[in-house]
Amino acid sequence: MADFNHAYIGRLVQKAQRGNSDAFAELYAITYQHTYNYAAHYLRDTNLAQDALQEIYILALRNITGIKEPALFVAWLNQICFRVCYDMERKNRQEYGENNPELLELISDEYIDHNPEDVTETADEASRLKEAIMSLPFNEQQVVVMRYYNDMKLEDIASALGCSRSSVKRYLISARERLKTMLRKGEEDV
Amino acid sequence: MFRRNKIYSINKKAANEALQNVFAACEQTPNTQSLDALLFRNIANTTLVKTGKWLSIALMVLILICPAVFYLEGKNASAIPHKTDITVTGHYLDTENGCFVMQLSGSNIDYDGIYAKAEDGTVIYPIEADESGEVRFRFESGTLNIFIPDTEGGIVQAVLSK
Repeated sequence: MADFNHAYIGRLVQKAQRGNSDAFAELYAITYQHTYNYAAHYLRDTNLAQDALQEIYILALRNITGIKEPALFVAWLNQICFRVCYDMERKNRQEYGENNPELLELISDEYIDHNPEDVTETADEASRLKEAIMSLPFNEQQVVVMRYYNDMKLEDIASALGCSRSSVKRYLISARERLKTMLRKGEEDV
Repeated sequence: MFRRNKIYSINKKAANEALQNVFAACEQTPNTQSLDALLFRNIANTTLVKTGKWLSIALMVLILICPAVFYLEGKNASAIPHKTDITVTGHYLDTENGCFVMQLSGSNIDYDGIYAKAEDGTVIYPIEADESGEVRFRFESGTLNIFIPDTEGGIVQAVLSK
């Protein structure tokens, strides 16, 4: 993980919130390589990553006054980064895998017909799965989307997030367990 | 096993262009300090650089105060000239016995350390040298360099020539 001085970043955020352009530019200088690396890994296209970089910081500058905890700027920026990349990826994919069979098979073998030939994913199942994924903790959400919807290798996910491969595996295992619980609960409610 | 994961990076020119586009899109005055200057400040602000800076200052202070430490240590060392109170109060040639006799006075005379050197460099020790102050060397002719030390590192030299 990149070495950020969060206390110093917090002070810069407070200045940027008061309209100081140099402070925002310094925040950009501290974080842009980390953000670009993430976007390039996620989108697997350096041109798209440059577009994403711009988009991310436009959103950051427009919404910076809304940050309640300035020291958590990097985590907040990572969330924006993920959302922008996710939306960009959806727009650019020719067929968006709303329903990822591998993921469904891994987490919901109780809901899918055990006869693989008869597997039909209902719109309702796909919608619940997507909702469940979006309600996961941010780190788990990111790795699930990158792994099962973007077909990224664990090493690439680790490089994008700036963490170790074993951390990525841990997030995936935890995410699968959470999704199973959420979908099981959802099924009981129905 | 040791595969290094790829890290993507963007060049400074493209990064700067993106930043200017961000300010333009948000209709905000752009930055007045260049991206290079801001990047340099970021590097200077890292823990590693700060730690290195303080270590360098500590090392410089240590180097500056080192000579003072040696000075204080050396105050009692023999490197600083030591004044001795040894004096030769009398001397004569004892021709009957072929000796040179000298009478010494002073505090802390190291009688055991008294010696002389002949012209050819030979070291000659006194026949007698005791607390009474009398020192006797075998001598008939030639030159003798006589060395009389004290117990605090001081030394008196006398030259005898016949």
